[in-house]
Formats: sequence, C-alpha cells, structure tokens
Amino acid sequence: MYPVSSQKRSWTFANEGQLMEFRVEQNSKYIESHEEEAQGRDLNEHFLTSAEERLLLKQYEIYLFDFCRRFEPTMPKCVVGTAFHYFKRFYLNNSPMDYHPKEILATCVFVACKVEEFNVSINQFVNNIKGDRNKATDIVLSNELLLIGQLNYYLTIHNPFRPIEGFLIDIKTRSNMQNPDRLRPHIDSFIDSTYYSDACLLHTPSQIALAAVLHAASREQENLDSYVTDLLFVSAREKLPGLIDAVRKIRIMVKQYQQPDREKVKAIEKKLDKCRNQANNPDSELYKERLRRLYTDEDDMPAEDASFHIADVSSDTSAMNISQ
Amino acid sequence: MLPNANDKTERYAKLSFLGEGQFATVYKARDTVTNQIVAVKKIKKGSREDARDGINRTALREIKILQELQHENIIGLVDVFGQLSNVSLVFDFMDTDLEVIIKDNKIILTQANIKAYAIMTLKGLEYLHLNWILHRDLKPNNLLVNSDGILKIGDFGLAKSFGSPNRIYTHHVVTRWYRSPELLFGARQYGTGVDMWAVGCILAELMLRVPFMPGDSDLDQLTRIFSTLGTPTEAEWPHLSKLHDYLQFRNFPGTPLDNIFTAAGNDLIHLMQRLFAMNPLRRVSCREALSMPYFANKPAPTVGPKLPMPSAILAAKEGANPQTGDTKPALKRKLVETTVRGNGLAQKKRLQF
Repeated sequence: MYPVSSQKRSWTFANEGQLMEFRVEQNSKYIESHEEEAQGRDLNEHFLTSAEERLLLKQYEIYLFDFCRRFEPTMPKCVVGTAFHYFKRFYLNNSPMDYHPKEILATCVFVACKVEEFNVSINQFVNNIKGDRNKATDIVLSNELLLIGQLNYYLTIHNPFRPIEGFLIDIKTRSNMQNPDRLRPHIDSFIDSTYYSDACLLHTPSQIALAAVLHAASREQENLDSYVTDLLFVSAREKLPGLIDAVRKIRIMVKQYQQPDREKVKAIEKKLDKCRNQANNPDSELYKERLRRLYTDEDDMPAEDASFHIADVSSDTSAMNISQ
Repeated sequence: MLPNANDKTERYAKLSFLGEGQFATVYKARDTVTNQIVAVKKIKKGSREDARDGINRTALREIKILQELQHENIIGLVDVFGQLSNVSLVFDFMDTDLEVIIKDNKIILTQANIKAYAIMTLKGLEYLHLNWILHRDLKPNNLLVNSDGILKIGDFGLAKSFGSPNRIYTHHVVTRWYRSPELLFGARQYGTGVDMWAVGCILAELMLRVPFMPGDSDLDQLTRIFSTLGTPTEAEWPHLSKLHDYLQFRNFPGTPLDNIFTAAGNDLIHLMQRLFAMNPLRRVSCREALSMPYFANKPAPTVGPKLPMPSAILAAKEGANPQTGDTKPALKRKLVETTVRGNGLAQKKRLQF
C-alpha cells in the first residue's frame, strides 16, 4: 500500500527545488569527470548545461508518450505510468550525457511491460522500433540491469488509476452528480498531461487522482467542492488545507507546461553527440567491448569468440528511431 | 548514488553451494558486515540467445514484491545487487521447509505444533492480503522454517497484486494439489480465496502427513475434491456453471471432515470447513480465521524454538564450524533433488532455500 511503499519512502520529494538540485548535481558530476574532453574549450560550449538537459529530457518524454501510444499490442495505462516513473527516476541519478535518453526510454518501457505483467517478448517489443532491431534488442537488454539498479531495485509503482476508480465509485454512490463516467475523457487527458510534469515525484497518487477528477468536473461545468469538503474530508478537516494546496500545485504544473522548441532540441542533440559518454555509445568500440563482457558469465573464463552481432549503423539512422 | 556492485559480491562471502535451477544458482553465504547467514540467489542472464527476454520475469516479480514487504512471517529480501549480466537476490537463510518436516517420519507433529505453523502461515498471509498481494503458490515447500522455528512464506515467483477492477488473471497458478475449485474451473477473476484453499490443504497435510488430495490431472483433482468434500450446487455457489471451464460432476455427498481428521477437535474441524468452502466468497479470510476459537482454545501453539526440526538440520547445527557457520558436507541438505510425484514421473524439485 502506498503509505508504506518505497515510492513514498524513497522516491517522493519535498519540492521542485530539491529535484533541481539533484539534476544540477548530476550535470556537474558528469562535466567534472569528463572535463579533459573539452580540450580547453568553454565547458558550457562543449557539454550540455543543466537547463539544456531538462529541455532534452522534456522532448524525450514526448517521444516516450508517443511510443507508448503507438505501441502494438495496445499498452495498458499502468505500463505507461510506470515507464514515466522509471524514466524520471533514472535521470535524477544520471545525466543524459552519460546515458542517451533514447536508449533509456526504450529500456524503461520494456521493464515497465514486464513489471506490470504486460507480457510482450523482446521481439514483439523491438517490432515497435524503427531501424536495426538486433541492435535495439542488444541495447535494451544490456541496459535492463543498469536501469533496475539505478532505481535501487524498487520496481513497484503506485499509479493514480486505482484511486481514480475509487473516486468515481464514491461520486456515483454518495454525490448527486449525474453520470460521473462522462468525466473519464477529461480525467485521462489530465493524467496524460501530468506525465510531462514532475507531479509523480512530488505528490501522492491519490492527490494526482483527485486533481484529475476536479479538473474533469470543472471542464464539465460541475462543482465537486462540497463533495470534497462535506463528504471526503468530513472526519479529517485538518488534512483539507494540505490537500487543496497539493491539488492546486498539480493543476498549476499541468497548466504551465510548455512544449520544448524543436529547433533548440535539435541543436542540443547535435551537441550531445559530441559530448556523450563513449563508453555508453552503442556505436563506439568501448561500448562493444563492454557488451562482450556483459554476455560472458563472470564466473567463467571469457570465451574466445564471445562476440555477437552489433550492427554498425551511423548515428543519423541509429537503431532506435523512436523520435521519428 | 548506488553502492558499487563489486563491493556487494565481496560483502557476501560464499560458504557453500545450496542448489541450482534453470535460472538461478543458490549459495549459502555470510554477510561480512552484519555477520548474518544469508542465501544468495544468483539469477543468470547468459548469452543473448539464452536470455531471449532479458532479466527473468519471475526474479523481477520477486524483487518487485519483496522490496515492498516486511513481516516476520514473510521471507526477507535482505539485498539485491547486479553485476555485469547477473542480478543476485539476498534472502534470509532458512534451514528447512514444511514439506521436509511433514515427510520426516522421525518427527512427531503435535496439535500444538500444527497450530503454531497455522498461525504463522495465516499471519504472513494476512499481511500479504492486506497489502493487496495474492501469493498463488502456497504449498508446504514454500513455507520455510528457520532454526528458531519461525515460519516464513517464500517463493514469490507467482505472486501478484490484485484488486484492480476488471483485471483478468491467469488460472494456471498454484501447484495442482493445492489449487482451489474456482481455479480448476478456469476462473479468470479470483481473490484471496485461492490462497485460503491452499492453507486448508496444507493444514490437512500437516495432520495426515501425506498430501490431502493429490490429483494427477485437473479433472482428477476436481474429482478428488468433490468426492472428499461433496459436489457444490448452484444454490451454495451461484454462477458456478458460468465459469470458463465448468464441467458437470456427479453428485458426491462427500465425507464429514471429522471422519477424515479423527484426531482433530471440533474447533479445528470448523476452521477446515470454512477453509474448504466451495464458494470462494464464503471462504474464510485470514483475519476471520485467526479470530476463530481454534486459535484461542487449548493447547496453546508451541513457541518457535521448541518446534521440531529435521534430525539432519539438528545434527548439522551441532557439527557446524563456528568460524564459517558451515556444516559438515555429509549433512548438507540437497536442494535439487529428483522427486517422484503422483503421476510416477521423476521431476526436478523446484529451487528452494
């Protein structure tokens, strides 16, 4: 249950400032450890700034949602929610210069499919990816352990879908609103919008669910204020101000979201190609060597011919064209 | 940032090999930081061809669920760490399991012993159900027991969150002998009742010292259930005939439970009747079961350290090397063994520790 979950304990943060600190710290750490690669040039020119990383990740969150939306077979909502959680958590601990978001994005979705019992094989999965599917398979499978390790092996995600169902049942039962099911389309679109914000790292699933329900009600010219104050919190009035504040913050987050400028993102991606960690670049020799080691059991002697096919594809047609 | 995985492999000093399965190797180890004896289950990923779908889904399910749980009667996932292509799960070390105890004919199981095992099983299961988790594979060799006599529910490879509206589940769960009638009839939506039925079968096995209803096919399993407990009617189980794989059975009257369990008191018979309710909605819950007279009545449950242990474990404890905690090789419990099941076919016993 959420109150005693790892999500609340380890992956819910106090405020946006705290998240920004994590992100700035990861950016600085990467630059410090790769400083010599700038070869005397201005560090901000060679490496991505923290602000550029945020912009880049915002764009990849759009790609993540599109990938899930187009996925065949149709992906359950909980898989999408879980994949977003994983993606956001991963980049609190890592810089996109270290691990390209395109590769982590696909790995997050694949692990989310497994964790949420949406059983698609790796072959089915990579059929949804453009380009070299063998290479995509290698990338996703070799990043799986990295991802779950960076999540601290906390894989259970509490999404807002169950509390949403609870609210709708409760509204049907106890309030006088006619046909609460007409709120569903607005609720769904609100939840989709929260994925582009940091709401899931700052607020509880039930707060996000209530924000979605109240947003949907206002879109349908319905007022649920009395339901919240007189029915939901009739015996816990002291908790009401905190909840109202949380709901307000979530709705503001969603409202204030701005799509990243595509031209700016393209420039950042070009910059990323030059400053990314080559040890984690599937097209580099360093990476291929690491992958060869990865598939050799560390308890055994490395096999003489422990190599396998990693397609050499130039970066402009790289295996995982999720962004196209 | 995360601790270095290499530090972790050095942290857990291997003491002995415990067993090997299709996806994992299990070692007994000592945590060099806490000095605790643990079981390290190393999940192998292997080559790309072997891996096919990457990290084993069963291991992922165990990690996902056990990372969220903490209870005296649930196996503890002490740690998880990855190294290259492998992930290792570190568990509480458990000396034996209920299957070994039941089969050990040198052990006498008293009513107080049985009550103690039943309480610990139900407490662990109540915690799972309160956290919206179905175990879906309860059987004696998944009820692990340590040398302090503490029983812990283990093997969460089939466990699943429940309670999502309209979620369809697979009915191919629970080892056949412990499978409830709704699962055998192909129910796609089910709840905590599947675990409660299994508890009834385990309790019966503790008393009889042999599996209660060892069917050798799903059809045979249903026949054994109905011939023993009586064929259910639509009156006692509404919509029974609408279940996906429903088959009509002849009307067996069943045998009164007190004729089968002659040493059991009325309070225990009453509990068994509630555990074996055909209609899953009428089956007793953990909370209800724990508040039934059986658990309040005498004899009181045996306290942990006084519960019986297989002689091999006791001998091993006496012969343990105080430096390593390791036992004499001759007394080491073999965890991968070939067992002959009801159908007469030799099968690999599932990896246990």
